[in-house]
Amino acid sequence: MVPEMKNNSRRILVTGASGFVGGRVVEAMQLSGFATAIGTIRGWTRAARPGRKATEVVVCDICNEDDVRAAVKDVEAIVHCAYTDDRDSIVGGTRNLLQAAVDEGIEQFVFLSSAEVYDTATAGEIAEDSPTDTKENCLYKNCKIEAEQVCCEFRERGLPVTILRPSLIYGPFGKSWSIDVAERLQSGKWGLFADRNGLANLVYVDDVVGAILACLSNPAAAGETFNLNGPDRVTWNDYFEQFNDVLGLPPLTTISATKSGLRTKIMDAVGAMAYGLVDRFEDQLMEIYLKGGLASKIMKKVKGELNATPSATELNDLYQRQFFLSTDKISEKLGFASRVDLQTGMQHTAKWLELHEKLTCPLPMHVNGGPDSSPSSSQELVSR
Amino acid sequence: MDDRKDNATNGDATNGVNQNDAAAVESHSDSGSALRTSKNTMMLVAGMVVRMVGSFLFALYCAALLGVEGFGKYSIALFYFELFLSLSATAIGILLTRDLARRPDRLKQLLSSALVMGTLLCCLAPLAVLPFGKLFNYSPDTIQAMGIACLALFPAAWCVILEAFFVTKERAEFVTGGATLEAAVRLVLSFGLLMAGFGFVELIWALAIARSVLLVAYWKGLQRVTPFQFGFSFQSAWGFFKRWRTFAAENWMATIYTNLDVLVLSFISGEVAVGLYSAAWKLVRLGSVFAKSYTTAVFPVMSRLYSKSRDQFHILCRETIRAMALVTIPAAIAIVILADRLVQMLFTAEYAEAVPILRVLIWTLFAEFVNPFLSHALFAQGKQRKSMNVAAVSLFINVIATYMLVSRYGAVGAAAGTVLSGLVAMVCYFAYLLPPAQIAKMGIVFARLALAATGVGATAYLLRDASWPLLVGTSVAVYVPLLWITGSIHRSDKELLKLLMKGDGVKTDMKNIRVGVIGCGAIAECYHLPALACNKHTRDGIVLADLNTERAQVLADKFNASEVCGDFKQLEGKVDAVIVATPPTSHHSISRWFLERGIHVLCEKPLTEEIADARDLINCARANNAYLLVNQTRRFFPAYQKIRELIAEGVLGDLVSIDYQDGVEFDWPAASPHHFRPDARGAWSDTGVHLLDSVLYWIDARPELVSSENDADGGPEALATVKLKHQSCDITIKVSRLGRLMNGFRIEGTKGVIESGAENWSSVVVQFKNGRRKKYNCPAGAFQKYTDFAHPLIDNLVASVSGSGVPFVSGESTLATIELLEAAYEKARLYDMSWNAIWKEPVHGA
Repeated sequence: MVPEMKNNSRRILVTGASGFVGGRVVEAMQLSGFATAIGTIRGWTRAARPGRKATEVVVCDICNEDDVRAAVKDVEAIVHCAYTDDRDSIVGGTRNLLQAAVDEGIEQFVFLSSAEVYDTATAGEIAEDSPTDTKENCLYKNCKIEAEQVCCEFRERGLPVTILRPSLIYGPFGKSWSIDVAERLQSGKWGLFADRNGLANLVYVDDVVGAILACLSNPAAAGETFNLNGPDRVTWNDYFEQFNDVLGLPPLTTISATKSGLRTKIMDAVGAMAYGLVDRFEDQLMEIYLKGGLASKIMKKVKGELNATPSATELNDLYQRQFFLSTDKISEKLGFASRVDLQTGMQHTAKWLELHEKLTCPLPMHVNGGPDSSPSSSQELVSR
Repeated sequence: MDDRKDNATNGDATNGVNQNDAAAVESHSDSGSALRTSKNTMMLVAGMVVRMVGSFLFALYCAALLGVEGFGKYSIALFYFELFLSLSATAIGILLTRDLARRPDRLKQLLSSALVMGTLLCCLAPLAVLPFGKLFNYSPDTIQAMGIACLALFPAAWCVILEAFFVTKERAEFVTGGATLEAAVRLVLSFGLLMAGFGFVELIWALAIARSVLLVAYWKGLQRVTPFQFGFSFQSAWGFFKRWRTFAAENWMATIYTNLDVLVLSFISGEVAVGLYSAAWKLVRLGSVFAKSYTTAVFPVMSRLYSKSRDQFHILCRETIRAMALVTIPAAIAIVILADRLVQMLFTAEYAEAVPILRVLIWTLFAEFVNPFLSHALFAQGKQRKSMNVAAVSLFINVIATYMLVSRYGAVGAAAGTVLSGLVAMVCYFAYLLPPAQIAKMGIVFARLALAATGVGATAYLLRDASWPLLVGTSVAVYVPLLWITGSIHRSDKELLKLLMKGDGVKTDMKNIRVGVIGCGAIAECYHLPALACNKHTRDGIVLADLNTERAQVLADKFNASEVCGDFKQLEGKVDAVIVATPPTSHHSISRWFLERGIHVLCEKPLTEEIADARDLINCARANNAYLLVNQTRRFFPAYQKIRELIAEGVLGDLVSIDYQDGVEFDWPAASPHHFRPDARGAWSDTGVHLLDSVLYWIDARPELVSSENDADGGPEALATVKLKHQSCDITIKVSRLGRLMNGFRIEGTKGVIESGAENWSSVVVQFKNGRRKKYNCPAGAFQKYTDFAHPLIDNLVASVSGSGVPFVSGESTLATIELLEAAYEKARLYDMSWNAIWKEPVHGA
């Protein structure tokens, strides 16, 4: 089914316009002429990215009902991508936006949730009807589940809310699965982890954006929840190896399970102590850090070691996950499928990293000037 | 590098010269303690008094010895000497004082230019003497004396120039000492010559010798104060000459005005009349020394008061005029009555004919007192041109009146012409200076005073034959109660005294620099205001201006600012300098507004967005004698200064490349969205200007632009790369608002490499290619954090404003930066961001 075309006079509010996904949604809308994006940012210090394209931005604290009400005026749809890390804003902020959407009669609301809401211990395919489960000490996961419940509440009140549950998102401006991984690979201390065969469910940011635009242009998306994932089924070690290759770094060696386990245990202890100290004496430590000298060198060394060692959660949970996030539903209902394969996504990411000086060595020729295997057009990206 | 040009082409001083001239004379030091300033003034007054009293006593003596004709001839030669000296050296002296006060670093060029110009002008004097002598039919011995006077001009002119130097250096004791020495030498020599039976020609020789001795003494003094080596540059001298013209025009007009009477008199009535007239003049002039000293002392106070409080300024003017009238009117009346006794006592009986001249001339006493004061009051208001108008009008009247009256009444006519033109000038000054209502009030005050003075006149008349002590004592005893009765003095007169005596309001003024901060955004709050608030020279005079007065009030409370304005134009009269901390688009218009008013400006970087605007501001600052400073913080980094030095010394060899990057996730606590307006400029203008300016500062040259790329797509760029080339050095500058970059620089030369973090300001490490490594520690103890560099910036502002220093980062020195900044925008193209390609086609309904 081909949804109706929306012209770019459609005004769509995108929360988190300075963020990784929200920023890209705004850019994609502008670059492709999909709609007029109105981005919300927490404060003017956040406006550098949307500012480049003269995006219309509003300063809006989603926890503040008045801010939200003012932002939602005169828009037709809302894409809620704002990333926060506390319950009040993840749940309360979402509620404020939903309430304002109801009050203003918004025609579409897309909420960016996360595949983290599922029981990640599941093996095999995870579809949208798989159970979600809350877990102790997982604030992000639990809050996303709670926020989804709030979305469902409003669905019942008649608001057409679409929930998207993407897997781990990488791409330009992405931190955890792009910048940080590149940094780890460049540290020379990273490797392939023996006995860790978990699947890396990774999706390129433009695929997530493509899905959002597809939902916005297709009424069939209303009231639905969709998974989003990249097309490649790869293990974490595959991902590290391929990314390492794209960056033109020397081949990774395999680190034995005992060695990596031990290192992680030690560094977790060091890390717990270091973060404890930083929490308490941030200013003083920063002063010493900036001053230079032996203490500063030690601090830098510790920081480098911490970055170059996987945490216990990563090593014992993330890298062991055996599920693959299924995207059959969105493909069936909206005709949308993820199109940017891992290799292409990594190449884009690498070029972005290079431009932003995140790489210590120049990219290999085949990446820098290599053939582009990305989808040939934005049209393709949204509709295929 | 451009600093050097700053003063060389310091354009013509227009009417904006105003109070700054005063400030320059009076406040050559930022530590400029009240004590030193007042000591300087006192020394100057003492020097003037020594000279005046010395020459007055001497005049009395030789008037008696030489007889009227001899004294007349002597007076004529002396008159030409003074006239030519004033024409050749006085204006140079004033200009030198001002320029040196502003640019002490340019002593060599300025002093050399001044000496050369003074010498050239002195050479013209003998050319004028012969035609004058023939035209006015002077006797041969008069012409001979005039020739000798021309010779004496050279040392005398150089002395005037050196005096300007001592005044600027706050070493006025040299001037006093010199004046005393010169007076002593001249008096001793002259007495000796007169007693040995020589005539007036030899007296002029004595003058030439005395001035030569003085010159030697001054030259020694100069070498003691600062080792000076002559260094002439044509360009510098030409600049000096161009600035001198305005000063000379005004000075010449004033000189001709004051000397016209003697000139005309000697032309029409001959040398005898000049002798009589000069005798009378000496008496009047003796009184006016004190008025001149008072005006010199009070001028800086007036200049400050005018911008600080108009009310107090008007009180000071009014009360000063009243006080002068209080002294001069009864004195004039008494002298009219006692003229014959005075002349007889001071001169010989031969001068009896001077009595009627004195009786007329003394009426100019009040004008002699009050006119210099009034003209200085106009200067203090920045109305120099009006003062020139008055000078022109009175000169015109003096020419006409003196010519007509002298031909009819001789010396008495000359006196009448002087009185008339003096009074006309006074009326003009009053009209310019005081509102009509005040003039009417002044009229009443004068009437009351005249009443009291009449009483004095009557007393003097009755006691005209009594002994001097009785006469003076009784007159004063009668005068004071009369003043009280007529209401000419009252209790509130204390106000004037208070104004002059009050320590903080007057004497320590130059310590108290009033700074207005325009734009109360983040930079003002985090950078400028904390530094202003803890600088002892600025903390009591902070005024804030912001369209958002609520925000300004918050900062005013935080930093103890004295006032808040919604419109920056309200700052006029309340500040000595302003800090323009608004968005860059408004830098030009706001800075210009203040510079036009002679108010110094410290502008945030970048000075302007367009090079034409920057040039305009620099010209405007020059034309109005105001300083234009720019906050290019990194030039204050001790390590950056060291790098400049190392590059200049060739320690790194020939430069091969400079790579400088700085990026941070935009976290400036920006208080307004102006940073992100579609027409705003981004990271390149914001951060790039720092890097670009640093690189230009280091290499001390202007590189060529090679390429410019950024990510701006309809709005301000967040990432920019600019490549430059200078000789064989490739320069790359990259800035970001999106996240960290290398955040440091790498300077590679053929001999060594410097690699460092952008904000390491305390040391420089050179890794030499031969394996050696050298660390240069730079004294940076006081600088713990970036914002600490606001302190040297504010210190430099204070030093510049108070005349004891010059801008460390002048507007002109940032021209190359602005030029390249703009060029990079003009040439900018979008980065190749292939990851965006997929969104570049319109999304048709999915």
